[in-house]
This record gives sequence, structure tokens and C-alpha cells, in this order.
Amino acid sequence: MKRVPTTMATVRGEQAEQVSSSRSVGVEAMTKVYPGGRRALDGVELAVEPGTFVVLLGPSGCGKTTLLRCIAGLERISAGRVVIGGEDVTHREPGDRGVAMVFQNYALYPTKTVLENIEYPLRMVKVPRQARHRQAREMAELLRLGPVMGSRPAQLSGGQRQRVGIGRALVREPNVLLMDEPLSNIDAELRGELRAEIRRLQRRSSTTTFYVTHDQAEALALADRLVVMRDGRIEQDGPPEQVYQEPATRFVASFLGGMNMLDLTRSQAVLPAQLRATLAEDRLGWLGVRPEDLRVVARPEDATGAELVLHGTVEGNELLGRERLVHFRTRGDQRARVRIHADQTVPAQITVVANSADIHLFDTAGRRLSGTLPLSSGSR
Amino acid sequence: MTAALLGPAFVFLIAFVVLPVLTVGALALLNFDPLSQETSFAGLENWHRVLASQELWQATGNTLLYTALTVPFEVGGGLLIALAIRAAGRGAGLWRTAYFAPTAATLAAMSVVWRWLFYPHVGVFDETLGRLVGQDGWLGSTTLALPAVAIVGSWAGIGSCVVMFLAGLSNVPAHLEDAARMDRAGAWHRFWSVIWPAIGPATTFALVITTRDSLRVYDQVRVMTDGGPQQSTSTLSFTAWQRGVSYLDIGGGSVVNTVLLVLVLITVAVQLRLGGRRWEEDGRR
Repeated sequence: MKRVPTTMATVRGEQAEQVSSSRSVGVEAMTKVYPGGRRALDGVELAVEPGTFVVLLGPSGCGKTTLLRCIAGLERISAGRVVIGGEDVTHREPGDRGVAMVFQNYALYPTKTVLENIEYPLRMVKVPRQARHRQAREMAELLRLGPVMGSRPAQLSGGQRQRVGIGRALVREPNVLLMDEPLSNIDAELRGELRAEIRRLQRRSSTTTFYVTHDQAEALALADRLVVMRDGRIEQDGPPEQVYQEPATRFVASFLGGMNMLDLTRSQAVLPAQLRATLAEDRLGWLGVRPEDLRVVARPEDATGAELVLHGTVEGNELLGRERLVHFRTRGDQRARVRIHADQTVPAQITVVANSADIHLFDTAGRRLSGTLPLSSGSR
Repeated sequence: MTAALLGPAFVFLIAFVVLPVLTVGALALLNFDPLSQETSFAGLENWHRVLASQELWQATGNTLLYTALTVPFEVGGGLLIALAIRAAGRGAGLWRTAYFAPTAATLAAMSVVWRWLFYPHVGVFDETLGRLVGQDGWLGSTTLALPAVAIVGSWAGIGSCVVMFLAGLSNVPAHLEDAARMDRAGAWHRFWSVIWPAIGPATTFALVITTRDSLRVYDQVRVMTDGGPQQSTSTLSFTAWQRGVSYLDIGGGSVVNTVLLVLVLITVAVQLRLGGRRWEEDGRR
């Protein structure tokens, strides 16, 4: 890897390469067992390219926050390594890893002003007063905190407080930014705005970012790379489009987008004939189809010829805005949901159809099968 | 409904706080002889007599000196010990009990033990510390008797400060400590930026309560020195007792009592004004 620099341009190129490669993150066989034996992380592997926006998604207790805290160094790991910029930082203090963190409940210093809060990490590493004032002020302006620079955290709104938290994290130009559910304590209307701002800032600084959330909409909106976690393990890891379109497990499919799951071990009657022919029946566990991929037909006769047909009794509905989510129970006594237009009347008996391209199949252990099926390849 | 809920507390407050204070105020204006049961109105005569006495001012000076010797030690030491116990993790319960034991024990009884420790020439103090500094007979010395009483007071009072600070420390937000670690704040900055603001209410409470207790010091004085030698450890509470109970000068004792009450109120007001209020608010943010 050692090259002889010939011109200044190559030297500069190498420096840029060094800056960016210092932002790579590797999590190797990370295991965290709490005293008492609870296994919060179980052999997690993750190699992240510099500048990537990684979203860690999962239900509470899945280990996503623990993973973040282990990367930060706030928790000691039981086994494995953390590598940042090619260096093993497993045994380094949180402050010595080149990482910064944004907290769910802001964690601002209550007796310090906005400017003093942002300035604090620079003060701790003894940046000269004038330089750190200037940097903190610039950061405050960038985050539109100019008018409240002299206020204390208690006087700010939730959105403003989290901007201060973000400013404090970014001001020392970390190689890696860790965000622990930064928007979950913020009003819904501000959340979207701040989400876009986080993305804009991250693109600008191209800081490698880990973002923990349990909100699937937030995850899809922000991620370059989406990591879905469950019970301390990575369930699926990939670009958000791929994770959404080809969920690797039944768990991911239900968690991301609330896919309907029909139990095929109870009845395979719903399965389209052509699918049934190509599959070994004993492997079949679940059939998944998203509520938005189902289409309601007016009369049961209209369903003839459709690949997947479900007849059911409506049990209730929720208005989502322009659409309505109708809950129904199939003839095989399984629960499912379908999205219809809000203006459509909700019938008591319902017949829905779907194309086999929109069907996801999972084996009895919940692993995706349709990736291997001829009919689902290239269907989207 | 409101009356039913507040009633009991209100009755207690009247019976055990308001009435005694008013009684003391009234007694200060009367000449009451408990032996003959004769009462006559004295006006401000008791006040003139006591305020002019050297005894009152000596007692006030001793009380303030005692307070100055004990409060910083109890509050500062209590905070340090609480921080150490919190950092210790394992065995914290044992240390907590060890420091609280003197507070739970009866001070008058413990003072007897201390008196023995301070016993001239053969006591533990004279045998060890006294030899080093060339001083002996603390309780017999007009300059060392009050510090000796203050040592016992601090020993007895530090436990409650430790407990108050431990309660305060449990309010320090964990995420804020994490943030400070991420920001590379050292131990001092972590204390000053995170812990100190969070324990503000505990600090204020500990300071006010400890000061009040020190200003009212009585038990150790009575048992260890009985105000002596030469009034050098005579405090306001002790003087009030001595006048009111020993000399049967109930009017004079009541005046001393009132002076003590006013002194406590003024001190607490000054403490709150000079920082206590701000510390309390910091903790609530």
C-alpha cells in the first residue's frame, strides 16, 4: 500500500484518502453480556464505508442502542473488537475514539448557554478561546441557533435543544457521529424538518453516521444502509430499498411496512397453484403480502384468474389520511390488512387480490424463500 | 374536603410551632417566678438586661465560631464522602451505614465517650495528637475546648450530610455524564458541569439544615464541658437552658431563645439569597 508520491497533487490526494479512511468503522464479532447474563449483543459484524449513513432499526430491547453505546465506548464489550479508521479502539476511552454522540434526551449542560454547550468539547481539548468561540458561533449559525445563542437549554424548545446537541457533536468534526433516537422526544411537525436537516448536515460533512431509531419511516428516509436488529443480532443489512423490497426474514417484513403474514402451515389453500407446484410444501412457513399490494375487488367473481385471492370478514378500520387501513379476517381464520382509498366505503365482506410478484414466501423458520423462486426474480 | 385534609397538619403546626414561639415571645416580656408562681409584666426589662450582658455576646460569638468550624467540614466533607461512596460501587452500603451510624446514635451518650477520649493526659487525644502538637487537656483549655466540641459535632453531623448528598447524587442524569465523557471532560469538569448543578437542591438543603443544627448546638456542650472553662464553650442554646432552667430566669432565657431564633432565620435567609436559591433552580432544570 506504500506509494512514492511524485507530485503535490498525489500527496494531497493521499491526505484526502487518509481523512476519509479514518472514518471507516468495523464492528467485529461484538458480544455484550450484562451482569446477570442477559445477552444484549451476540456476535454482531458490521463493516461500514466512510461517509455512510447507517440506520440501526429494531424494536425496543433489540440491542440497537447497546451497539451504539459500545461503538462509543460508553459500554465495555464482552468480546469482539471496534475498529475505527483501521485502528483498534476497543479499549480506548469514549473521548479518544474520534466519535461524538447525540442523545435522545439532548443531554445538554443545564447551567451553560447554547454557545457554551456547543463550545464545551473544544474547551475540553484546549482549543484557544478565540478559535473555539468562532467555531461554536459558526456552528450555531449553521444550525439556525443564532437568536438563542445566549439562552440556557431550559428556555429552548425540544427542536432547538436537539440542534444544540447536534452542534455540540459536530463542532469538533468527529470521524464518526452516533445518534441515539435523536428525534423521538420532538413534536411530530418539527421531526420531519429536523430529519431533513440531519441528512443535509451529514452529506455536507460526510461524517460516518450511526442513527438508532425504532421508527421505520425515519429509517427509510435517512439510511444509506439499513441494519435491522433483533435480539442482539443483525437480522438484515443492506440498502433501504432492498431491505424493504426483499425482506430477508418474516420479522423484517412485519417490522418494516407491516406486511400481512398468512400461516401456510395451517392452510396452503391461499397459495397460487403455480407456486405450489414449484415448492417443496414442507418448507413453506409463511406467505407475506403488503397491505398496499392488495387490491379490493367489488364482487368475489371478479377475482377469478387473479394469482392470490383472499376472502374475508371486515373487523375494523383505521383512517390514515388519504387512505384507510382495513382489518379483516380470512376464511382460513387469519388476520390481514388492506389499504383502500379513504373515500371508498368499507364493506362487511371483502375480497382482495394480489399479483404473485408481490408475494413474499418464508420458510417455517421465518427465512425468505422467494429469492430463490423463478417467478419473483426481477418482478419489481 | 380541603379543611379535612389540611386540618390535622394545621392543628399540629399551631400547637407545636406557633404557640411555643408566641409563648417564648410572651415570656420574654414577663417576670415569672416558678417557685412562688408569681407573674408580673416586665416590659422590655428582660431584653435590656440580657442584651447588655457580656454573657449573651460571648455565647453568640461562641455559637457563630462553632458554626463556622462545623458547617464547612460537615457539608464539604459530606460531599466528598458521598462522591467517594458513589464511586466505590461495591461496599457502598457498608460505608453509608458506617458514616450514618454517629447520626443515628444518641449524641449525649456518645459525648460521654468523647469526653473520655479527650480526658486530660491519659485520654486518646492527649496521648496521640496532643503529643504531636504539644497540647493537652483540650476540654480544660479556653481556646481548645470549643474546637473539641466542634470535632464531636462534626463527627455526629457529617453522616446526615452524606445521606443528603447521596440522595442528591442519585439525581445526576446518567446521559449527561455520558455526554461529558464523550466530550473528554476530566473529573473536575464532570463534577462542575454535570454533578454540581444536579445536586443543587441537596446542597442547599444540607447547608441550611446543618447550619441550623450547628447554631442550636447543645448536647455536646452540656455533657463535655458544661459551657466551660470560663464560658468559652457556652453557646446560645446552652445559655438559654442555663438561664431558663438552672437560674430559673425564664424571662432572660426566653430572650436568649428569641435571639437564637432570629439568628437562625437571618442566617438561612442570607444563605438562600447568596446561592441556595440558584443552586436549587439549577437542579430543577
